[in-house]
Amino acid sequence: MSEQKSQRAPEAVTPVPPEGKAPFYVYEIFIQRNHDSHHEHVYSLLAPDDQMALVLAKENFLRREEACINIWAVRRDHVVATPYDDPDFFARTTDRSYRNPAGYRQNMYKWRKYKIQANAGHDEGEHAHG
Amino acid sequence: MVDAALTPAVQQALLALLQRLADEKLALGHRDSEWLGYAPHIEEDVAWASIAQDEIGHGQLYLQLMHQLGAADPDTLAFGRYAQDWRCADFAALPNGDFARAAARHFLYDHYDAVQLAWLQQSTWQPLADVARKVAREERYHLVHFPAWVTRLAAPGSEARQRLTAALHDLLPAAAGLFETTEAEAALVAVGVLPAVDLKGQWLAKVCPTLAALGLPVPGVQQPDGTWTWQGAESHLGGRRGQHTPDLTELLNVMCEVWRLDPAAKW
Repeated sequence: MSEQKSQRAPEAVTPVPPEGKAPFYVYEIFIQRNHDSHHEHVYSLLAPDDQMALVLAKENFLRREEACINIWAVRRDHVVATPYDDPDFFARTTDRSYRNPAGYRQNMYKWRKYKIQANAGHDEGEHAHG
Repeated sequence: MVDAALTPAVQQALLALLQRLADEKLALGHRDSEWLGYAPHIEEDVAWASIAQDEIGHGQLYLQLMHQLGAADPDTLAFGRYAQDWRCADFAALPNGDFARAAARHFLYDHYDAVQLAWLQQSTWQPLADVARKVAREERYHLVHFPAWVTRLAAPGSEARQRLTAALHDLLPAAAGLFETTEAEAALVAVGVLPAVDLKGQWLAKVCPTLAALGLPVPGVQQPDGTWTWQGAESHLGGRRGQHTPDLTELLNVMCEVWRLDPAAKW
């Protein structure tokens, strides 16, 4: 396996503010629609700091949502990412089909067989007691 | 439909109160909508436009209550009147000016609305208390959004801070109009439909410490007992009695322009 070359996504560049102006950053926004669901990435926006990112995310990405219970905002340059120029990091050149659920098809029949055997043993025990 | 449980006098007083509540929301909502396409960046543009829709939606809720009490339909009430029939404090209709001034006006208004809505929620007329509760929940976001901007615009040494300070010197006297009480409100308090409260004192206690902590001009002075009292000039009075500055006429000329072309048109 190749070593990861960079810790930061290459496109995550902090915008340089014009002279004398406060810097704005790109924030990636994730919303959680209810307690049973994951946070989902919805889009990104520009904001001067963490609190403003949350404040602006609410009106920019929840306008047409039925409900939302939580927002995550993450500065894009705080995201660690794998480099695009290192495809071998993800290389899979040998057969791993045994990892797929299809590889375990036999298990269902085996489980059924052992279950029947186990139940039969249990039933005998009951009879012996009675 | 008329509420049979209310005496005609109470009904008239409620109509007058609802009119001024609606008018202040509609005027401010229209000013908010003027930012569409002009806010400093796209995210704030969308957020402020959304806040405009909140305020106009709140105005609509009050107009619907008026309609339930026998007044005209909400569209006619909103678009069919000229300035002399509007009952808003002119603070809500002031032109936006620059971003710092508009944010400061909203900050001051939202804190006023918060104490006002807490008061309205105590009304013994349940429909009003219910609407106030609904509005207060949506106002929560405004009370995060604008204080967040005011804090940032107050950054030491910035051009924004100079603009914000100048805006507050101008806006704080005009905010006095928000605390003018009307005969209708006094009548509702007298019969117990609303409790007697000191909205101005409550507002000063919320606004003054925040502004003072940022080193900005404050509209009040703290007494030895901890309470705050108004300090400084007062301007833009009379709006709730129908005495308006030309700002409101200018606002209505834009807001009602299309409706006035053909008031009977079906939309």
